[in-house]
Amino acid sequence: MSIIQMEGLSKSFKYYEKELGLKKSLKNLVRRKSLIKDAVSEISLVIEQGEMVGFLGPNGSGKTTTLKMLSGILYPTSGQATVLGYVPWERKKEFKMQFSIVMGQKSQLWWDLPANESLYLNKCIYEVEDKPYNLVLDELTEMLDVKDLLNIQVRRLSLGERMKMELIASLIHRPKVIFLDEPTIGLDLISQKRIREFLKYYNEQTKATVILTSHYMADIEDLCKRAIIINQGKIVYDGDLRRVNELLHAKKIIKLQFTDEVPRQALSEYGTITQHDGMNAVIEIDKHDLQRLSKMILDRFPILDFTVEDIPVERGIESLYQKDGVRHESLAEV
Amino acid sequence: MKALQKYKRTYILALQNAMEYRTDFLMGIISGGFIILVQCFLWTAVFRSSPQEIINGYTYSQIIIYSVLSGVVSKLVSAGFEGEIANDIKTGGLSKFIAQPIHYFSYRICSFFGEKTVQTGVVLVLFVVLMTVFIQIWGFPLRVGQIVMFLVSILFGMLINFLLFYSISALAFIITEVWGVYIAFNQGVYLLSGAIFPLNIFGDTFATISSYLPFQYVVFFPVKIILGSLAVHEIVSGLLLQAVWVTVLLVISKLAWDSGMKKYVAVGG
Repeated sequence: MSIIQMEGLSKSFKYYEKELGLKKSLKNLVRRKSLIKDAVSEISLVIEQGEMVGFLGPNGSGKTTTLKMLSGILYPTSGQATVLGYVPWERKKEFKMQFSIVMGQKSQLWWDLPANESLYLNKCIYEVEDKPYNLVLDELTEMLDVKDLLNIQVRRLSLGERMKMELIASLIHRPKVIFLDEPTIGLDLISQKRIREFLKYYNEQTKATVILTSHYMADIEDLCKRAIIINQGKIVYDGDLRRVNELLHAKKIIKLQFTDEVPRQALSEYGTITQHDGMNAVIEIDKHDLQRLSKMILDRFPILDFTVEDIPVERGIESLYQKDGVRHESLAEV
Repeated sequence: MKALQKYKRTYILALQNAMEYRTDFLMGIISGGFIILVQCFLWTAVFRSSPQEIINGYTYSQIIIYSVLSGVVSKLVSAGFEGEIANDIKTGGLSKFIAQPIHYFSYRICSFFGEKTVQTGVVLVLFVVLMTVFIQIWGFPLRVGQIVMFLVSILFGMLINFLLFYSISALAFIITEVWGVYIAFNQGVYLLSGAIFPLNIFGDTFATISSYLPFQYVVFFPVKIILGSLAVHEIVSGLLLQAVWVTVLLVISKLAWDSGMKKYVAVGG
């Protein structure tokens, strides 16, 4: 059963431009030039129950805007969407009772009171009975190892601890759909890992459908079988993150270490040189030519070490981030 | 029943929160005390230099009691949440209320009264002390009926003031930097509600105009009840007018917020 459906979902914002300088400021007082930005354009997607989907994309690509439309916070400019059979922006109570949105940069906890007060408020907001509440609370605090922190004022908690509390607060009512906007932002690696493990476990246990956005590749790579890469409001990739590169180019990387210095020009005929310092070099070559070229290289140069690797996923994503998926090699050469 | 639980809880949380900030409220009372003191000195000087016993319909004791009580009442009914609302709108904190099954208005009013409960406790103690002092000095007459009416009118005054500020807060949907408007509005309400001087001091025209506005029902009217300058039928019709204003302002705030919500752009991302 598909839980989330989007059909041509678009959102554009109006904004104003101001050029540099006092003169322009005065001009702006009288007349402002208004511009339209398409934050999300024509997104169509279907997400099934129990899926864990990652939205990946640079800042301002429209990830958060999409989540906000799916949770009913924003009205779309055009297009349709249903979540759990409801149109989110109709803001029905029955819908609100079944989903949850966590925004990493915005707290839903009361700052000056201990976290358990805010958690209890959420229990009341979502009309959860005492018994299931205590069960869920026990389970979640155990899993995230924050049982001792429940009675401490939220403002005295560390960022990681607070994020864990935010997660618990949003899961009190056992939502069927969870939207996580940058849940690991600003956290150290260990905390990131803890939260990831928790989300994975939670998704497996409850079969809840999860959409998360992140800047961190590792989040998505670890958690989501399905990654959706968004750039400039459009979907540029939808599938397994590890297979991003197949879509792009059939390329391999050869890493070389020499016993003697080898000049750059001598290597350039084999492929694109992405790194070179005389004793070491990294060359990008076509997959089909791999056998032929590596033989030639091995024969011709004083090789100490020779390795063949796949292009890292980051590179593939980076090129997807470029406008219209144009390849981008100059960056790697710098 | 279950649905009411969430608002009861909000009320309790705001109450707890207010207790965390008790020093803040005490400082507010002390700073309010300075203004009252200045007013008392001013009126003492005025009465000393005047040959008349009654100025603008007030005797010396009445005007002093008015100054003190209006200071205390205006502190009690003051809103103070408009900044938070503006912040919610500007930085996108409002989003969570849209995504959760809780009404922002109900949430705000519950947390307003939660906060006010603690303050009311302090103010009531203060009120009893002050009234005892006044009765000792001037043999000031006070009936139980008056006190009951006074408390009811204060409750209405709080509601009116809440709705006034809740409505004006909706301006934050249109104006991003809304502080200037808030300050101007705050000062306007302060003056028009009679928190500084009794409204009839400004003359008849002013008194007539302000009788058509909701502001005088926030401070001026409740304090007049205690002063004993109103007949019973005047008090009753005043209370009814307060109720009318509450209804009118409910409609206004609903309209303002509905149109604001349509404009709301959740910030960030």
